[in-house]
Amino acid sequence: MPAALLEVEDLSVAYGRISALDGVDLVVPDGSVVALLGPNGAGKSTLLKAVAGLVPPIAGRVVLAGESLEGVPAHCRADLGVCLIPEGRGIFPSLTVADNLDVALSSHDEGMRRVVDYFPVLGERRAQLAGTLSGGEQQMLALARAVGAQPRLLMADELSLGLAPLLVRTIAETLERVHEEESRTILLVEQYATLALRLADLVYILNRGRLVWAGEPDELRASKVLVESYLGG
Amino acid sequence: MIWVQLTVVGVAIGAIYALAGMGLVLTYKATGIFNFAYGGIAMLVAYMYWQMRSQWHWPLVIAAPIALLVVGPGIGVLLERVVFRPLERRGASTPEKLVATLGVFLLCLGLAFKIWTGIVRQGSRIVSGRSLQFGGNVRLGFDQLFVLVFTLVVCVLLWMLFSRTHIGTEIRAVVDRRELAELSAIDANRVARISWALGCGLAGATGVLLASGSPLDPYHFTLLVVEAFSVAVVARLVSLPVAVAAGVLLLGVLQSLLSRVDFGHVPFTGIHFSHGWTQALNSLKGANISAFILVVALIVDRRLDDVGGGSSTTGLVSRTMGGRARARSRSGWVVPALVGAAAVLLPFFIDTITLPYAQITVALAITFTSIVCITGFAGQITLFQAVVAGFGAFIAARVNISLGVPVLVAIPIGGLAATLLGIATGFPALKRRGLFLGLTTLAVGLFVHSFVFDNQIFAGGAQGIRANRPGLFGLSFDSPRSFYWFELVVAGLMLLLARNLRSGRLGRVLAAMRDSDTAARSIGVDLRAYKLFIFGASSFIAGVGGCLLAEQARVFNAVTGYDLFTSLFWFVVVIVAGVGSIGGSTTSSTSTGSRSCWSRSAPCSSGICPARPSSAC
Ligand SMILES: Nc1ncnc2c1ncn2[C@@H]1O[C@H](COP(=O)(O)OP(=O)(O)OP(=O)(O)O)[C@@H](O)[C@H]1O
Ligand SMILES: [Mg+2]
Repeated sequence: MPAALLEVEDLSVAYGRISALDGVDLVVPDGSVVALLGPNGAGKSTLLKAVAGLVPPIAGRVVLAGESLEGVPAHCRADLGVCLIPEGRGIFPSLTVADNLDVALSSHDEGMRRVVDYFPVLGERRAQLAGTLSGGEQQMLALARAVGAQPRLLMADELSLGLAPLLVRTIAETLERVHEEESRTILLVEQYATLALRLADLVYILNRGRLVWAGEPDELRASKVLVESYLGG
Repeated sequence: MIWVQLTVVGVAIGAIYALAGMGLVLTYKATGIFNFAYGGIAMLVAYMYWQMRSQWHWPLVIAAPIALLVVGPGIGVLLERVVFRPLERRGASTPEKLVATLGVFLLCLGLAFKIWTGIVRQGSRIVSGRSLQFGGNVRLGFDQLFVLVFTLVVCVLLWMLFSRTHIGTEIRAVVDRRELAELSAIDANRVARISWALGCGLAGATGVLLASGSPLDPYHFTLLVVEAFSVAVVARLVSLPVAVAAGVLLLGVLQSLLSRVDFGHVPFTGIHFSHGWTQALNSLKGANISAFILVVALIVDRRLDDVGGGSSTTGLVSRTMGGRARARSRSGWVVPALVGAAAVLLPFFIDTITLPYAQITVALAITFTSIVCITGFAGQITLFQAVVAGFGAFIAARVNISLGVPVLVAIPIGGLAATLLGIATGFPALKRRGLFLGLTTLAVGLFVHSFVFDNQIFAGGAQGIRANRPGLFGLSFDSPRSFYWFELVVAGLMLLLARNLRSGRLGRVLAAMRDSDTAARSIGVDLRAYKLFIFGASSFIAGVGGCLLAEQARVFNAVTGYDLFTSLFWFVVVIVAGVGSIGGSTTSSTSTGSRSCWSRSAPCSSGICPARPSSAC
């Protein structure tokens, strides 16, 4: 068992009086791909945001490589290598593609070469405003920004949202390549359960702010009950 | 040779407007907020510089860097920390931020009046007043040259900052999507702090340079900076070079050249007219050209429909609205009835010295109701309501004095004139919302104020026009009590009108328009007609309220109010009091009316309190 890169311990988050996460424990081993599944409103996005430092927890803590991230603001966590591609389009619409990459790659020259290597399309569209890219291209750009930043932990929130199946496959392949070639640790939130299960080494299922199941993809596929109640068959 | 001289002078004068415009554009680019407080900040820094130089007699080499590098940017850092960061955290909407800048603006004005009073000071020079002589009689002051060079240097530096440096990209990223910028390892708070420091630093520089060797008083000085709005709008709030060009060429050279054009003289023919009209034209060009440019730019430039127009008042309005609506249903008709009864009986309980304030309160309640109608019910931002009110008052007084129309008839005529003004403004603004709608109304307000109210021919200049109180069948409403009750009757009628705007299908359409243009269109509503209608209706109410304000003071006088400051002030007051309800307008007018009571001796009232009660009551 490799060391844990990310440990979430007894994490609770509330929006005002509405509780979104209630005592969640979760471990992401170094170099693994972990999938976080669950129905709408389960608290998946909230968990990722709490790890990235966008929402403050009311209890519990987030530990990265043995060090607590308590009180560390979002931009410093990004500096430490925690990278979140947020729900929706993770790009700056009124900046050009080149500037979008620039913002992410400020301190990594190496990153740029990789990005163009993984996403040749973006090289051609450097001068275009990111907001005018197609939905798929925007998602590519969001992924490119994240990969280019060479994070230790890459979190992606529903990358496949609103994309055609073909593009979903491309994205899955890119993620797979990133994982294999650079042995990056990835935490995925996905509605496309098949995609997530194919990539993941470890699966967590959240429901109504609580962790209801954890295990390997094969176990999950085998369990009819789980698939029916959380993954919609 | 005179033309060359005029052009040179124009360039130098224009440079300072260019600087101001650039600062506004920069603030908008770097923070996403149109800073209405810009003029106020410029004024504060100019005063600080004056304080250090003229009062404390600090040497230039100490005072100038402190004013330009510490005070101005310091104000920016402070504003970011205590005002705009919390707003950002809350995810405030554009109109909310706009109101916040208006609030800061009023705060600056109040502060300056409090500390330095309204007395006109002589601003301290930052550069020697001597001048360079070029061949012939073309002369250029050192100070003018300095401003010119300073502006150009700042323009180049800012341009480089935005397009050549990483912090420039970071600034743009933070403006675009703050949260995502933080996820990209950008310290958004630091970037915002830098942006505000830069913007306010430029505001400070504008202030110090503009006041160098010129008169300095809070009110007129701030107005000067407001002229820079036109520069920023011509640059569509994005282009720094265009802002510079517009400042120099339009506000500087054009105005300078115009000052010498004689409209009575037909070029190249030697023919010379000299009757009233040419005099009128000649006196008009003295009025500020920036108002004209602002109006033209806002009306002609259709591209503005898209820029920054996506903002809606939803957050602001529905929040206040929701609370109010609930409160109203609980209290039902009891509270209004009680308030009404108390208002009617009020004169029996207060003396005749206090009664004028009650009269003002009622008149203000009417004008505030007009803001509630258009901003609260329909979500349209208007920043010229006091000018509309003044226009109604002006027309009513004019037809009463010049044509002998009875006052009771003149009041609705004034209201209708205001309606026309409202519709005329609403027309070019049909496709706009949010910031640019606000700016369009502001432009029209500036225009009407400087070309009509300030004009000797139309509005009687500083003396103003007598505004008689009404009478009916030999019954005069001239005495304090009877005028007050007359006002109450009018207020009742206007509140009834406002209520009707809100009920039934009309009310639902307006509410839909408030929440989203698209939503309203999708339920099959011709938005344009309704928008014009609400502009007209609200202006009518404002115009009638303006008539009463003037009659209360017994004079229509553009100098005592009905200007943009008053408009901005009213807008802020109504928003703060709760724009969603008619009750809000009543509450806020009461507090404003009583405020003018205690501030009568304070000079502060001259700037932001529209109506000082006439002692002739
Ligand atoms: N900013 C917010 N304010 C208030 N409540 C929120 C906020 N964000 C999320 N919530 C609530 O927290 C709960 C969890 O939301 P979250 O976005 O984490 O769900 P999710 O699992 O990502 O759902 P989905 O699959 O639909 O994206 C939901 O009930 C949601 O309504
Ligand atoms: Mg989600």
